[in-house]
Amino acid sequence: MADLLAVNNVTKAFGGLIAVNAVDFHIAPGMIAGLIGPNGAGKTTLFNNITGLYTPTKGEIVFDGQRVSGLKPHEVQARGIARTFQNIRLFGQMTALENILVGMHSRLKGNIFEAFFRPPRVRHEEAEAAAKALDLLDFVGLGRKFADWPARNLPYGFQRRLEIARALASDPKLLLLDEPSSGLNVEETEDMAFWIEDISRDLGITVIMVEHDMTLVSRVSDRVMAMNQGRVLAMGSAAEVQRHPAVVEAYIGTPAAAGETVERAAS
Amino acid sequence: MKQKILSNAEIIGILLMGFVALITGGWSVIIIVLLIGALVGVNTEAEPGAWRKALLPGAISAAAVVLATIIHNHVIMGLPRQEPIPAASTAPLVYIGAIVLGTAMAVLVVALRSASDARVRKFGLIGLLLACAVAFPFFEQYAQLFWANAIIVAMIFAMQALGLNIVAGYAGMLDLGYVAFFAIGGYTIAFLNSPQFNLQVWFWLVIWVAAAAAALFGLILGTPVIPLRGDYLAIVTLGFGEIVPIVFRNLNAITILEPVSSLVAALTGNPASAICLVGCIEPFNLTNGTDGITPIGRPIFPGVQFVTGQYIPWYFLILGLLIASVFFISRLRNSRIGRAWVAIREDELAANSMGINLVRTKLIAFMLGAMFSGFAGAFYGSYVSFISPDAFDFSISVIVLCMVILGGTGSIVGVILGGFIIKVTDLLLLDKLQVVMGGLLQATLFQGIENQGMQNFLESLFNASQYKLLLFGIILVTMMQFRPQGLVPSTAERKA
Amino acid sequence: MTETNPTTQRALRILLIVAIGYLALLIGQPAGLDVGRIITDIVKTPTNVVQQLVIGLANGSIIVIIALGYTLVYGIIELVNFAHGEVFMLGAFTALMALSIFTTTTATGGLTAPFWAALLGFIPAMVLCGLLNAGIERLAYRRLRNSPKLAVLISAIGMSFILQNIGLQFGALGKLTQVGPEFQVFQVLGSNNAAPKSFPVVLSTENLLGDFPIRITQADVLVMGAALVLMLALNWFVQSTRLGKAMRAVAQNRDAAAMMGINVDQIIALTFLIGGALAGAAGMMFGLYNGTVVFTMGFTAGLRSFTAAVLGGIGNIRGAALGGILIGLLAAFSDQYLAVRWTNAWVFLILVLVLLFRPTGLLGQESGDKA
Repeated sequence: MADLLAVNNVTKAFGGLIAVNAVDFHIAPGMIAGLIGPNGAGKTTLFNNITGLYTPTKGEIVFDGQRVSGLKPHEVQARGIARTFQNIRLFGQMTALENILVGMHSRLKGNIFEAFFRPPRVRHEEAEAAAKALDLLDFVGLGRKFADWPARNLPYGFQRRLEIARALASDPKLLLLDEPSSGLNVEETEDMAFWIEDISRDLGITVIMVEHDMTLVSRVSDRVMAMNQGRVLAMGSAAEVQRHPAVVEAYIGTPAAAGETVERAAS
Repeated sequence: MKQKILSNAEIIGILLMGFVALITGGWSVIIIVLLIGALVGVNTEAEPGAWRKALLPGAISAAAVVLATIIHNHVIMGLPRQEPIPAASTAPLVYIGAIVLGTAMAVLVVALRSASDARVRKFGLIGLLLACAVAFPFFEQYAQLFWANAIIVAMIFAMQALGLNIVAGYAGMLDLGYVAFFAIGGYTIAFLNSPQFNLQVWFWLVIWVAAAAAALFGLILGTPVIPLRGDYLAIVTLGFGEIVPIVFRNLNAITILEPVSSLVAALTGNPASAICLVGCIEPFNLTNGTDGITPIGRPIFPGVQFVTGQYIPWYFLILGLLIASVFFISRLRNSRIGRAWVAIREDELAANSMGINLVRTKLIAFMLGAMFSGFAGAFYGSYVSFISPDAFDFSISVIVLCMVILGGTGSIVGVILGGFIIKVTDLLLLDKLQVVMGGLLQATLFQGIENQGMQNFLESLFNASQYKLLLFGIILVTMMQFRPQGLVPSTAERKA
Repeated sequence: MTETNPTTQRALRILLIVAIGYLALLIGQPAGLDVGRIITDIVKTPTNVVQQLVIGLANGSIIVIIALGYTLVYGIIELVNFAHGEVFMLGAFTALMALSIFTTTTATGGLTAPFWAALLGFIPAMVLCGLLNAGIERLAYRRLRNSPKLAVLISAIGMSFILQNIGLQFGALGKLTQVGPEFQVFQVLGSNNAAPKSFPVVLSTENLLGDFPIRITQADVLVMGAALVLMLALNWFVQSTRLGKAMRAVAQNRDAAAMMGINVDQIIALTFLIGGALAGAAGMMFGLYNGTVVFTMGFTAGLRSFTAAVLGGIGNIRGAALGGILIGLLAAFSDQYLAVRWTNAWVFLILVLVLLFRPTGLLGQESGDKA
């Protein structure tokens, strides 16, 4: 089966600093991939390269058979890659529902004239979009009563979920989650694991997530990739990667320690 | 716990409106009590039977305003230099009627807001507002208030502010050269419908041409400028806003020679050999310089005369346009593109990552804003029937910005309210205040000061209309510090 | 993309540049860009070119001093201090009042003041404007330090309106001269609030070069000299003093500087103080050089100086110096060879072009926007 995403030898340098160094990996459709590594390892930079916020200095990124490196973020998103952010970036003054509708932007068609005159087609489209947005609110367990809340007034955990709903709104083929459990308590993290599994199983969306919580990573990921200093250290199952000497060294500094230590250090 | 009868907003409202009543007097009391009644009504929490709770605050507020009016009518009118007020307006019955009217307004607004039928809730207030708007010019004429001009200009500016609200309020771009598009709209109608070139293009076509011309310039300026950072965008637009009036001021004697032949002519020392392209016999006068262009074509409508001094047709025409603008803009805001604007304002990077084409979306906002300004400019030109570059300096851009900031960025109701407050203050209240202050000075201080020079100095120092800039400046600074969301925040902000 | 021959490409590019140039010469003519006339003018009186150079340098010196205030403030809190031009205007008014104390009426009815008074007058102008600018920061900007950038910019615009209005009503004091001789100092303000105010004559307008066709007056020398002294002093302050180093540290990274024990609020206030003092000095220089001041002059001067700061690379002190001189020269040459009434448009055009094509300015370095 063809790869959904191919990151071919991608390097991103900022002046002299090489944030991502010759990273090369492939993601098959339907997979949940975990991306781990200490702070500054280049995980988010890699995400930014995939989503078009950065253009790789070297190498290319192919998504669904098309080259996406060099495209603008909105063009990448239109091709089916959606993302969330490490430090939640919702549209604070817009309602929860509107946030999700913005996520559908690239799937809707109305132009300004249609916005003026609202022909039946647009009215229909808007009504459908709103219905779908409410469904998505349900899906992430937020409930419809929050639909009219300004996003910034939602509790933190709800904001994380709303961000995921917003990303799902565009019917992506690939979802990039940047530290979905960051700032959540144990219970909320557990819920998050369920949703990620649901997204993959029920919606058939491929997921790549940057995550520090090894429990979450081990639980949901089919495959784990560890990065440090811009390079990929190891790839494989969660258990394999955690025991990999290079990974252990990256976290602890000595190759002697065992996998459990990694877990503790990472969480 | 002791229940407060009046909320803070109501107290501030009473103080401000009371002050207005104090300096205007006469029949204006009717309008002011309706306003304060509406304020109380809007400010009371809506729930079944809530209208009873509006009775007392409504009556108190209206009474306060009436008291201020009585002071004007019977004390201030005794001062020298005051403009006369109709005698009928000082009858005791008017005062009692005003209190009843204000209270009724408060109760009615609350009752409509807490109606059980959703349709009544939605259309009741709009209907009430419309009824007041329709009644206003006739009352104004009867009461000899001379407010119509200020209100019409305020509506034109409110329209312009609605346009700026798309750019600054929705899309979050600070456009400091907004006046340029106003000028372009005004000059377009002046070129196409005035004796300047002896053109009389059909009015209803010209206004659209004016709007299109402004939008076109918005596109030309916007394309390179939009990707710039926010503060740079502000400065570049400011520069554009400064260049446009300079261009209109100076394009009154154009002669264009073919550059190469002109160069050759200069080098050979034979100036006559230069090939002339434009303005050969006499320099071409495009804009008539600082003298401006007048008269400018008026709207044509069967059976209605649009002339200077006849305010009612103008009032309804521009009221209609304002309502149409509100309708269109609120539709825009709740569309795909409107959501994209607000998303960009809130977080550009996230918006981009959610599939929004930043440049395209911002450019549309910029063009639409320009279009509204050009449209308003065309009507302004037609209304005052005179266009000159002096009407388009930087302060206009700031005044319009002030309307948006004061009312509430992103809030349609707020922006219109801001437009009215600013323009009515600018054109009406400061002058009234000056008259009252002048009378007060003469009646008090000048009695003790014989010296003419000192009198001149004090007069100049207390000349309220000289403090316009100060007032707008204070509004901008204090709003930013203490209430950046404006008087009437947009819906999402209010729920915060 | 189609492959094209590099020679063809170069030819096309040259053609494009020629076309744009031709078009500019065509539509620029109403704005004074008439090559034929310009060349004739230059050939007729070549000394005029040098003369404009002198005028441009002198005007540029004033612009430099104002531009430094923009650049210092922008460097430290990334704010276009819109009110700065108005501080300069009030500086000129303060300078005027300082001079007026020593003003005497000449036999011909004009006003004059001694030279030492002008030098002394720098002190109140600088002190008051410094304090004023620091006060503005405290009042209008400090609370907004963590607000969006545009909120502070709007506050700054508001502040500039307030100051301009103060400048306008300051003129009302002139009416006091009618009251009695004790208010004679206000004579310089005239009787109309809004009208331009004449500076008393301080410097001789005699040509220092005698009968030479190029005029250099005392005013030219004084203005350029004052600018040089101020620039050297500022450079010394920023480079060599403890406070100057703290200023640079805050400009580089405010949080890190705070952690190193630098009182950031104090340093920012100090920056405004220095910028304001420079604006005050520029006000005196402007008055001495141009002879009249008016309450609306802050806006134009402010925009010219801001353009200068951007042209040189905003945030960069040397850039402001370079940009100021260039804008001064541009304005002088535009006044002479293009058209006086279009000079502002040309300056704005430069501003727009710089921001579009080289927003970092001539001497500025790239500063990437943080994602």
